[in-house]
Amino acid sequence: MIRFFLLTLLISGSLGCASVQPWQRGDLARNEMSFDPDPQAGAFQALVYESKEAASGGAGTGGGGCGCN
Amino acid sequence: MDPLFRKGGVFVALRSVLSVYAAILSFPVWSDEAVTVGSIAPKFDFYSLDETEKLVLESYRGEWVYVDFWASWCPPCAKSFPWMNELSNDVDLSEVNIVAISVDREKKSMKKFVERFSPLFPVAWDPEGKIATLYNVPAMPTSYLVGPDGVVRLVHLGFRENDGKNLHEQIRRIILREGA
Repeated sequence: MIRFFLLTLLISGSLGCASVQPWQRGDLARNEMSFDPDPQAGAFQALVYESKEAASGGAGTGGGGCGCN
Repeated sequence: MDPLFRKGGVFVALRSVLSVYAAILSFPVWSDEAVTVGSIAPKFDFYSLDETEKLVLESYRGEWVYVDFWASWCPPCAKSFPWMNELSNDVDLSEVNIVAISVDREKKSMKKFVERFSPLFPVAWDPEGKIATLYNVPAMPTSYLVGPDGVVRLVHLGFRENDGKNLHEQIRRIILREGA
């Protein structure tokens, strides 16, 4: 049973994987696809957060976007 | 009891599954089929933007061609277009033909970008990425300098602020070395 479950998980997970070629990243480059679709609001939130926590940094993550350059 | 439950069998199985995922995700985009320096530039043909004229890469045989893959959604491409206009205006490099291939899916976005930069060179539209697939373009933008014999002499990935000057110099050096 567990083997069947793991096999299903493997197959379904593998089907979900697709490599997106650089020339197909038009949709990924849209603003709404970025982790922070509104950088200005994000910067304001970060400022408030940093003031409250008395610490800054470590909030960023890589990824998203068109992958240009 | 299922043997997978014994001796951490489940964890071993899960680790295997995750390893397979990691292997799939880490598959390199730059495969062996990518066009590199020394490769024969794959042939392609395209219609001019007003769709009245059919252009063929092969028709540039005997001349230098700078093939650039771009898209309207790619910010570095917006930096490379003014530079390519400069390149096409350089009298010392008048033997270099430029062909810019858009991989935009929407013609409207591509046309808007073209109107913004008024390129002095032919622009091709490759909405299905057929030409990009032939070249296995590894990044956006990517450009290829193709020699008169159809062999790729230079591949340039991306386009940063200071790339223009160096790239211009590199192209000039290659052409001077090999002759027009």
